[in-house]
Amino acid sequence: MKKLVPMLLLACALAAPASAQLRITITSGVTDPIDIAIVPFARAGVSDPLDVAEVIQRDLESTGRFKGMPRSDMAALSKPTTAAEVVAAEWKQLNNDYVVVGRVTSQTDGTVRIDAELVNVLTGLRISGPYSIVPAASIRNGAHRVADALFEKITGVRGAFSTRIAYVSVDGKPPNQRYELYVADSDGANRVRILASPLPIMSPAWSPDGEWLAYVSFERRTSAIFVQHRRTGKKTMVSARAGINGAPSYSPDGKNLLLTLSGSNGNLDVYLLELASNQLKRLTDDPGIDTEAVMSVDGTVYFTSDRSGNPQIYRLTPGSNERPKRVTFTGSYNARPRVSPDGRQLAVLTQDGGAFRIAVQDLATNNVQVLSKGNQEESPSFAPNGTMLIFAGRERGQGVLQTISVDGQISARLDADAGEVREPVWGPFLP
Amino acid sequence: MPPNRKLIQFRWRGYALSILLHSALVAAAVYGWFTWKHRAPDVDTLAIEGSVVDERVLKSIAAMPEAPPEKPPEPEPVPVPEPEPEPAPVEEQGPPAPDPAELERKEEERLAQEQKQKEEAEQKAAQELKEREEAERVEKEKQAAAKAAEEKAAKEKAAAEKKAAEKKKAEEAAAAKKAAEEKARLARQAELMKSLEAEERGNAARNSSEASQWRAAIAAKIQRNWKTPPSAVTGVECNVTVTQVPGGDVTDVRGIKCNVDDPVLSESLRNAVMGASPLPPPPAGVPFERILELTFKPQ
Repeated sequence: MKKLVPMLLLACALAAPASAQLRITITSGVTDPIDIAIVPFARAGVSDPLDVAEVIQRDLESTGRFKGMPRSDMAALSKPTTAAEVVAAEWKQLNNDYVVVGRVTSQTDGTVRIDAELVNVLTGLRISGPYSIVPAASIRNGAHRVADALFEKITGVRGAFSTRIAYVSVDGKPPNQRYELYVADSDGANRVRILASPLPIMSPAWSPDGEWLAYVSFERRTSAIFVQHRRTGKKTMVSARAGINGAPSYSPDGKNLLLTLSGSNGNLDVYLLELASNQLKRLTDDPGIDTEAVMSVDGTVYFTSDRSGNPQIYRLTPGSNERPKRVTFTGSYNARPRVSPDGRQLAVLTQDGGAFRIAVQDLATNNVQVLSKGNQEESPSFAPNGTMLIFAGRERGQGVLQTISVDGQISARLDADAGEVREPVWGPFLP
Repeated sequence: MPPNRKLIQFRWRGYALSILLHSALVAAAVYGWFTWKHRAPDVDTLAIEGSVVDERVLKSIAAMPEAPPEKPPEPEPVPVPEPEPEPAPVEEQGPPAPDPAELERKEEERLAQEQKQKEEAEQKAAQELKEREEAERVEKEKQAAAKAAEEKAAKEKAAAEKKAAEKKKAEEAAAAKKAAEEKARLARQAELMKSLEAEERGNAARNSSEASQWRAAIAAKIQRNWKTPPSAVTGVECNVTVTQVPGGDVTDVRGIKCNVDDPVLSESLRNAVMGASPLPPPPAGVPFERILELTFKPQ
């Protein structure tokens, strides 16, 4: 006991320095966007007047995670084009977290090199790169690639600005309507028409490698499913069975196509078509309507069914004899399921107080969050990095392309420069 | 001279000799009894050795220079009284006939007896001398052993005394060391108590409501500046050590340790702290703390 007391005192004394420090616990942060100043890039020998810095800023801002410094606020500041020229304190004083500077330089081989440098004005850390070398006609794509890299450096999530979207545009009024299938940059720019028809084109779907598009066409007066190569335009009809052929979507390995067939009796069910062998496998067999099937990375199939009386989302595992299980229970209408790239979230079109809106359901907790605020929205589709969704909204009675961050914070309208826009679908990452 | 007369003369001579002999025997017996009765105890006998010294010699010695002291004289053996010769048995008889041959024979016997007695006495004396010498040797050995034992005892005593002295010295040194250690321990204890008291005072200040408000103000400012990346989800926990200077300016953010390896998350924490700099100052009465230990636990 005599020795115990000094030992205890010693123990207390040794512990004392630790307790002499102030301990503070922080349990939350903010979802405020990161303040970033993207200074106009220096240009050298480039004829394209594209404002690369502006493209990058719009890309970053579209995610809702960044807030770009308005150009007007930069008026009084010097315009550095290299990280070494950035006076961090100056930019920090204007509440910026990061500054991006860069240069667009024409190269002797006709390509254009875009260099960017990132400066963390809070810590003073300077990060060289990223850079992108693109053909002179693709500076915009180069800018998207630089934005991808910046987004990943700051958020840790791979950027998806250089990916593509596909959508259907309908122009004109019946009976003289014109249907077109477009592929565009993720921001809606650089659209390329890959199919046009006076008869309906519906339900475009990307192959996992981004090279093919599957869609439903009525060009044969009846519904048929085609797959078409994006760049060559080569197309193949894969299903033109009796009755309805609809709602195609690729399996994650790209070898199979999920589709909806009615058969001669008109009962819609979900099938799995192996593209190489053209073998068909029935996945559902229910008197109700089963359609809009999509496969998750883990092989689970989610589809819409009205077997309970109202459209709801169900899931099944191909090859299993288990009955499909209902997934959605919020509201009386949940349709058009799309699963996130990581398989953890399900985007659906839900009826919310009389309006049709885009909602996201967490598949682990079944929490549902309605993201959009419109009245007549449709066709949600995840970006390949899972941070955003694209869907078709309506403005002044016309379908438009819209994006929204998965937390619902930021929504943007894309300039489709087209008529009625329907069924957008976000493509995969490109190599 | 007539034969009767000569015979009578021989007879008287025989009587006389007989009486003399018996007297001698009686005297020897008495002496032997007396000696046995008054035998000296078996103790070391101190013998006094005496020598007949001529006075002239003494005078010559006195005239000589002083000689070194002589070794003490060896003790003389105890004188043993010589036994009386056994008297020849005397026959009780009438006056023997004076026979010259008989007389001569007797005389020879007597002489032989005397010779025998003399030899026996010499043997006895030799035996006694031998025994005495043996006794002396034994005594010497005993004395030598006693002396050796005494020396050994003395040595042992000296060694024991030396050992005891050393032990005492060691005990004194140990006692002094213990006292010094105890003093040092008490000093340390006092110092610890002092720091503990200071710590207590600091803790009291730190645990005050004002200190809590200060912590909350710092947390709130950092929280407002923590733009959480997608990876900042429930279950993630990070610890960060922040150094500030009076005035609240953050000078260092280091030691970021998270339970996930995520450089973007780490940078977001660094940005949160640096973005919150300068941190709110402590209210009056609350000690300023240079080091802050932050724990980020998104919930």
